[in-house]
Amino acid sequence: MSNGIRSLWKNEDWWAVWFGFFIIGLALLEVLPRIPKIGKWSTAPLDAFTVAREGVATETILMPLLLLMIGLAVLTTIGMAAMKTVPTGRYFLGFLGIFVLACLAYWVANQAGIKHWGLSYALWALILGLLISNTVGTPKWLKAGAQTELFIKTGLVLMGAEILFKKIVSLGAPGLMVAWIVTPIVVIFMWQFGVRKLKMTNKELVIIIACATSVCGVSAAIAVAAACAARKEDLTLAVGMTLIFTVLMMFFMPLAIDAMGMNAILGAAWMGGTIDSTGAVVAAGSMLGPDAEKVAAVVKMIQNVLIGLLAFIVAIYWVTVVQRTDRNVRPNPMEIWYRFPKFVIGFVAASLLFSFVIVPATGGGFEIAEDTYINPITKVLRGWFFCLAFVAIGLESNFRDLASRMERGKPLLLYATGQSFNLALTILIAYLAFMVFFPNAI
Amino acid sequence: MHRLKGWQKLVIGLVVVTGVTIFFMSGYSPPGPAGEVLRHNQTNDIDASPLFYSEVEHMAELEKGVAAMRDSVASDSAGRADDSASTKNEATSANPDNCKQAKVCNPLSERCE
Repeated sequence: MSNGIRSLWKNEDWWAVWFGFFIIGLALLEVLPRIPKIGKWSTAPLDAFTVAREGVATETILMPLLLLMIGLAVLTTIGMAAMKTVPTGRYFLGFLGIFVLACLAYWVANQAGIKHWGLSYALWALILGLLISNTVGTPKWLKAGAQTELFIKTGLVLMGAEILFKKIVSLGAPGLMVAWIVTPIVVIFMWQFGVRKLKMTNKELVIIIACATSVCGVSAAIAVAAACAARKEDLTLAVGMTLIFTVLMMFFMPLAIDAMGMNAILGAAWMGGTIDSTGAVVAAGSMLGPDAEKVAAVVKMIQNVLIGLLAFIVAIYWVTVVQRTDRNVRPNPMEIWYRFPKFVIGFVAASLLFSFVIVPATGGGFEIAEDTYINPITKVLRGWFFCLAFVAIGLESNFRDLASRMERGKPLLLYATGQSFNLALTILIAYLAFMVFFPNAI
Repeated sequence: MHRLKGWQKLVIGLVVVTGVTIFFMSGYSPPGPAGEVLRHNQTNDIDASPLFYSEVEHMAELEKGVAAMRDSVASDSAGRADDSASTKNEATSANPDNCKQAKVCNPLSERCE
């Protein structure tokens, strides 16, 4: 049997596609119940494990959580058994341990005070994993369950369902100008600056930081890291930097806009185009008023849609240019196909399916598709897979490796320079878009 | 120097992480302008943690809000155009629905032409 056919059940990328589309298929058939998620709590920690339904007393989600854990463990174990990369029994046990740690990360992240600071589950999952791996060391049984790439890639295929192309016209031409003109320019600028000026040898880290800065922080970092097969330490560094700078920008950008007496809509577009994560954009935007909050969030959303396209382009660029061994020989299509990360196909296919088939089939609006398939099923499961992935990354990383990848502070310099360029270019384009070319758009 | 054993490091790490976590959970906000956004988040219970747009709980409301803002601007400009437009423009500007249709057909066109 040819390697190409065998890879369909031996390759992790293909398994991510099978898992993703199996879940999407079940969601579309409406046979899955609402996927449990750990809830928000303020002072009573156990509130996180209960859910209040209309008119009915609060009920616990412990049993649904247990079923979810076993369900995901069984599903992913099927893939692991086919790939035979680790002993199946050991993987199953390790998965259960990682799921418990993911629950703990979600539980901390969902406390009201933590949410106000904007410290997401990704940070807590990383911290928990790093804490174990850098103290007692990750036990072998737990390490077997830490299948980071499989979790990330499956999460990304599911994320494809959330990337609905029609949303790019939500704010008309000015929104597109801010989100789609600035972003590629900043990515190219940062790539050139990192590779040529700073002479960073770790090209994967350069592209991850560039995409995280210019698109949407952690989500873009995950997608691009998987597309260029970056090391876990690179993703950890990029995510750590982007989470810290996001909080700082959320704190200080509204103050700067207010101090400059800038138009609120212009300021909102500026923040939407530059602050990395959507939650921080919404929080900062709401400081400038309800209209600014809406505009900031929608600019960010339009930018978020770029993530699939970007992952696809990075994957192509990596296999055709960066990984090319002989500069004089053009790689043939079969070689490109062989090295192309297949999960990207699933990621883009899920996005196209929902954008051009499911949404039109449900009446053309987003609400039905979002309320029926995406919000209760695919989005929640994508969150679980990402949380599992971040726990696994933490469990497989150590501080010594992280420190060695700092290249005398070059990644930090790349982020700071790129973000400064992003801030300058975004305000210029936002001014032209909202004040000069389309002053009556909003 | 005495090297710490793994479990000792874990205990110290747990104490530090727990301390930091409790600090963030406590509702503390830095004094002065630096804590202004945080106090705003606390007062209005704003969740600043979503990483992706679909994780924002009221995203659909925000999207609808922008659509309403754009519709309002479109109907305002259509109303103004209705008063002074030439015969050629009347067919489009007199009816806001026509204007909306024109925008749907060509999202890059911000004005009813």
